[in-house]
Amino acid sequence: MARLADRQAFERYAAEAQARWERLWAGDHWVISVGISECSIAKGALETYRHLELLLAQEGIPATLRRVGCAGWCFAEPFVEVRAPGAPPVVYGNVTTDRVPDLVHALKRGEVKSEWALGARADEPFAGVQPLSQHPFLARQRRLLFADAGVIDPESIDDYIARGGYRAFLKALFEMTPDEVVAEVKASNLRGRGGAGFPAGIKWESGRRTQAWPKYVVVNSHEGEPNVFKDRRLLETNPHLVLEGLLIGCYALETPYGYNYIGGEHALAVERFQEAVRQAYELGLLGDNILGTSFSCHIRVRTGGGAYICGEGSALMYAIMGQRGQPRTKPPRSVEEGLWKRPTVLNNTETFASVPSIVLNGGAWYASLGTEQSTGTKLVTIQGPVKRLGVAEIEMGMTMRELIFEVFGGMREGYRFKGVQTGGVSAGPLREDQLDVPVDFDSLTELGGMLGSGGFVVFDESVCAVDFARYLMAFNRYESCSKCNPCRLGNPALVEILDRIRNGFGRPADLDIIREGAKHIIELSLCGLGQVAPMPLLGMMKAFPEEFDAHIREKRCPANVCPIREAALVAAGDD
Amino acid sequence: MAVGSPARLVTVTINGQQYTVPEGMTILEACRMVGIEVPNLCYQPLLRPWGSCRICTVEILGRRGGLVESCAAQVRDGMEISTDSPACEESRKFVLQMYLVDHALDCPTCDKSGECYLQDNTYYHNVYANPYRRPKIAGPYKHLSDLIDYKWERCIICSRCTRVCDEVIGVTAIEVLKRGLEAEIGTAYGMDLRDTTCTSCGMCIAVCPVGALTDRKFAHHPWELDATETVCGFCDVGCTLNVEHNRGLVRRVTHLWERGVNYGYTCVRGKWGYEQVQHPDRLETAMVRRGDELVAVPLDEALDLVAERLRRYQGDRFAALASPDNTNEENYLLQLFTRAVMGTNNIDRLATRSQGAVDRALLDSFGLPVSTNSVQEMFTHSACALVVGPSIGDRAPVASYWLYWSRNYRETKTVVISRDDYPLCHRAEVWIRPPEGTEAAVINAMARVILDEGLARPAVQSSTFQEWVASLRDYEPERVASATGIPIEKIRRAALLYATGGRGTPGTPGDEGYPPSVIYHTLAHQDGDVYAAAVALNNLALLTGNAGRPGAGVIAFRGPANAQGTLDMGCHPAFLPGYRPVSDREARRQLEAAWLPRWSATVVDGFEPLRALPATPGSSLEQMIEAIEAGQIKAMYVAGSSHEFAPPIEPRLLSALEKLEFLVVEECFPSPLTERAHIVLPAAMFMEKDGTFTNADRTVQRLRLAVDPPGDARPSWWLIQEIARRLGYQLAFSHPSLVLQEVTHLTPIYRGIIFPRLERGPLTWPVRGLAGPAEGAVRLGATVPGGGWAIWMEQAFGGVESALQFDDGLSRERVRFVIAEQATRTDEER
Ligand SMILES: Cc1cc2nc3c(=O)[nH]c(=O)nc-3n(C[C@H](O)[C@H](O)[C@H](O)COP(=O)(O)O)c2cc1C
Ligand code: SF4
Ligand code: SF4
Ligand code: SF4
Ligand code: SF4
Ligand code: FES
Repeated sequence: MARLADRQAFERYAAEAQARWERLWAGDHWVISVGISECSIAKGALETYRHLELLLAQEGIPATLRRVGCAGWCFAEPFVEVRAPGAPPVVYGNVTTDRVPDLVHALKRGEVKSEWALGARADEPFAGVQPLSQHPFLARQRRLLFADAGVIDPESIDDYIARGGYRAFLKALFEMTPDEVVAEVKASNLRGRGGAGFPAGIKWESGRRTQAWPKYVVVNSHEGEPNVFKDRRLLETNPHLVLEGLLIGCYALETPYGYNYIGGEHALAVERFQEAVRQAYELGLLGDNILGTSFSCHIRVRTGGGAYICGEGSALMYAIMGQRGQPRTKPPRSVEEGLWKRPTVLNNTETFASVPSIVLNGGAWYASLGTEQSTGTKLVTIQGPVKRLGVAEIEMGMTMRELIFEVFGGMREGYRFKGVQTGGVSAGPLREDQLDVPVDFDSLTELGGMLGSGGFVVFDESVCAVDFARYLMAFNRYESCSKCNPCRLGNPALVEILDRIRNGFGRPADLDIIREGAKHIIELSLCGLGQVAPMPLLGMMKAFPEEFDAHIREKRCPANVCPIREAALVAAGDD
Repeated sequence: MAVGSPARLVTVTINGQQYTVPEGMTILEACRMVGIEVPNLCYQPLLRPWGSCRICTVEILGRRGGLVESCAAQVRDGMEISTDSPACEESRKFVLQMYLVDHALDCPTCDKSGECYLQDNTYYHNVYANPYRRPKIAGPYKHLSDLIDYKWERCIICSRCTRVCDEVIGVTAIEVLKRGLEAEIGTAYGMDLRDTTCTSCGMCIAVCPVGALTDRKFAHHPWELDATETVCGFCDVGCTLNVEHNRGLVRRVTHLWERGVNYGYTCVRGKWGYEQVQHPDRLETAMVRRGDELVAVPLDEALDLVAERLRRYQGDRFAALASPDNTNEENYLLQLFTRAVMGTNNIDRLATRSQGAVDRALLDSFGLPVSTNSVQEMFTHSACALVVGPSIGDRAPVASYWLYWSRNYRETKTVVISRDDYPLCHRAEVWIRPPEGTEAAVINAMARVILDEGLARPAVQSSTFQEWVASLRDYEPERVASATGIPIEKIRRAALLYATGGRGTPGTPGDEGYPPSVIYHTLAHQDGDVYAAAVALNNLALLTGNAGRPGAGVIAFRGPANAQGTLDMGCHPAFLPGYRPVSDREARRQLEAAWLPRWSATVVDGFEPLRALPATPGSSLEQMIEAIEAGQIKAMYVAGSSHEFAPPIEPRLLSALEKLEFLVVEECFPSPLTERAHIVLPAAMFMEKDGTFTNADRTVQRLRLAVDPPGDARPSWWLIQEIARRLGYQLAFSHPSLVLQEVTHLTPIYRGIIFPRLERGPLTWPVRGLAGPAEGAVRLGATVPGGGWAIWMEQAFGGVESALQFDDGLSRERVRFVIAEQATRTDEER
């Protein structure tokens, strides 16, 4: 592939890609797509793919077998999308190897396995299959970042370009000044998706204002928080979207240096993003003098070693520089002194992925989505006993109740909703009566929760609040980078007190000690980890005070989870 | 820390009092400067603010989230700070309670007890009850090396040790391992530190605020020890040491932070070199040769014998070699003895050929055999350092620390030309590894690049410049590159970086030219044609205008602690003290007036009082060897300075010494010199005497007696006076301070350098103001408001002026480009 020399060359290339794309869907052959991402691989998608390959050959069916990315419906993995000549594509869920022969045979007979179908990519019902967009999981979603998830092949830059990819970058490069790009991002009021919700436009502007050279733009794809898996899916399913956002970021900062720091655990995300970078270099969308302009851009991928703290901005930068990943005190902020003491703009993967649509459609358009203070869409993931697990993209402002009970389908048979833990490991839970809160940055915070990176854990009556609080605290305790005293030593102290309570040795005074210790940890910790580490515990204590009471005063675990009884028995035996 | 930027001042209120402090200072530094103590654990001067212990928490009033770590947060105009509000106190208590959950509290068996920050703070804050108490977790000692132990449960993970090792020592031998409560200090893969890049400097122990890293050689309680502040005697960096001793033995060396040219830091020799001082092999008695044997005799008897025999050798039959490990006062007395008593200019230093070559190169290029600038300018001015020669990390370790430091904090650039592979090579912008004997060629090729790129800004335009440029014909970069196998790009890059003050691209220089580049070299520590390489470096500095301004110049480390002072004092066949030629009639007359009246009127045993000082240059070390071989020199006094870190003595000299009729050797250890001596006088080492040393950058510092010398050993200044007295010359200085007073009177370059001022800290000659604080000197000391730190800052902001500038002590005419091949021996005065 030759490097594209200028804008016309790109236009020609894009037109060809688009034509190929249309021919693919218009021909009289079958197009069969299998979603391959880490979630579906875990459920056997690769085997499904091989089975299909074999059977189609055996049956002599002229078919194009494609690999696409994850579409967010983890509950339906592995999925297979089939387009028979003359029919709209139909998506089938849970197509494990044992279903493959049935499926192929049915299709060969010209039948539609409607009982396995999630939906058809059509506006009208087709052969008893509802339009996909009306599937309850998708009906309430608003997909910008995930628009092409499960549609395009993540390893094909052509697919991405055929669907309009890199148009935003071209628009920025040829029609906008860097200042105008920043102005649009500011106008969109896009707030950082990594947790804190700091307006990206303002960060970019400070980065532009700081006089020092060189500058760096960094994507934070570390995603080390438990129960969150949006960034890795995004990278797995549409890596070019993130890359395009990063390119626009580099253009806005007028720097040729970009990084993506990806959690080392996310092997497929790393692989696909690296492949995307390779393809972009090959096509001349990365490198020197991109499309004949004076703008050059070089992107490097760095991977993490498994420490949660390396997702924190300054720790991440030390990690990139080859040092121990530990946060540093601020100021100076990273936009003043980041990588190699130079201005560095760091944003979350999802933040960058939102940028192309902002550049294409304008900041005002983006700001019209979502709520006034929390604009746009948000990727959310849910864990727990709900019916439809997966990644959803919703407009900000949908209520938590709608999110859990409509999008994610509510509780599974036999489970009763007890609460939902918000903000990963950084905030408290919501109870049933608080579920009408809109899912956005500020409303959740008001209730002691947090939008965070959009990872929620729904839990039921079988979960003990004390035990769950201990789990969340322990995560922070073990992931404390060990730099500062209050977090390194305070969190273990709180976990130990919780263990005392779980084992039936809690004392009424313990709750006060926890509150006192938590206050100091929050006030004195150096970085965001310690500053919020006790929040889940305080939240649980606030939401479920009666359970803590039962453990301490009645030596009883209402959910029957804690080792309280055994411990008490042992203690009694000792007497 | 905004080092080097002009000081803008801000006004802050601390505990209700208004103060004006420099902008950019941290709150903690500001508090220290105005004399308010804020507790701290992870703060360590010169290391980057860390902010991990949180005990330095102060409250910014009228702000939400007003509790901040004062060691990292900077002062802002109008800030209202409380360092002792209830919220601060509560926070500190919590911090201490946390530490004490697992802290062993084994104070009675801990080396640190009595000087432990945690113990002190626990006491001050009266932390006893601890609601977070639970059974303690414990671990065994980890032996990191034969010198260093680590105990986890005492460690507060403040990272002072790992930061010092990485940021200052530059070797990153230890790191924090693991996370959370389980974090600990250790080496990669748990290796023994001796098998890593560790230099065994002990600085990790030195900075540890608690007893987590401990010195395996030390087993005393601090309060049992007396301390003496003195200067290290093992290299010419001249580090201040705090020697702690009791019952006549040194027990350990500790660190006076922010004092001395080293701000308290030392290398392995400074830290553990005292073991040499109290080595069992030290000479404790005088000895006299009886046949093949050296026989111990009482010191008096030996001194009598020395005097009796020396009587026969007055005049040029006698020669003396001074020890570059001896003090200025001692060396002054030895040359005085040689000139005014023995009546000859046959005096030189016991130096290696390479040390001599480096001195000569400096003399030839700059008119004086001295480093032109101060190492301290690394903190303020130097923008690029060209570091040449064997590992500076080994030869002038603490000077290498500042190279790492300024890379971190001032973003200075570094170019290394060295055959040794040491950590700085890997951090440098360029590392050139020249094959043996090609340094001069590589440096000359760099000069060619600089000329070709139009970056030359020659300091002098005399005829020597044109001749030198012509002589560079043979150093085509391409040719040198292919002959040496060094990529030409590296030579180019090195040249551009050096010539442009680290920018690396020509561009337009500012009004004042490019930022200054300094040259540090340790060529005196290697063999081969050191003169050519040293001269090439001097030329490079002159070529690029990197001479005569702060932050530039050439700083040569010559090895022995007082190598510079020995020369300054006139232990040179052609120079009187202060580099006045022996042929200078006026200078001689001055000295004669001071020195000759000490002769007693009576002639003892036909030993004639001298009527005039000898006016012709004597023999240099090289010439002495020839003169001995030729039977012209028959007796010698050699001040030896053997110890583990001393360079070997040249075999040619040793075999010549065997031919002498009479050889007196003053020594600390049995050595090849004592093997050849007729009489051996046991000498004191640096920790055993008072006096001054002058380090590689002309900084004069005070040595103080910490422990008595062993047995009959005496300081050289005492021995020489005893011998002189026995010859009828009345030398009766009761203390080295009086000797220095005479030096100051008689030696223009040492004007203003007197003991009372040295008590306050080091002084770099030439000193400008003769009263009050000396300009251009490193001034440190707790008596100054704000302590040493404030002074350090003042230096940083105000700028130092210790660069040897053309108008004082050096005349422009004496600065010249030198062509090494044609250089003749320059022992003759110019
Ligand atoms: C302990 C800790 C872990 C973090 N982990 C991540 C992470 O995995 N991914 C992420 O984008 N941001 C993470 N952050 C937030 C980042 O520090 C930073 O605020 C964010 O990447 C900025 O991007 P945004 O403004 O687009 O959100 C973490 C913060 C803390 C304190
Ligand atoms: S708060 Fe915790 S994670 Fe953050 S710097 Fe301190 S110890 Fe490290
Ligand atoms: S002795 Fe020195 S070099 Fe070795 S680990 Fe300690 S600080 Fe580092
Ligand atoms: S060993 Fe000492 S200096 Fe190092 S982290 Fe522990 S307490 Fe701090
Ligand atoms: S650098 Fe030199 S003066 Fe300093 S401690 Fe080491 S040997 Fe002594
Ligand atoms: S001294 Fe400030 S946090 Fe440790």
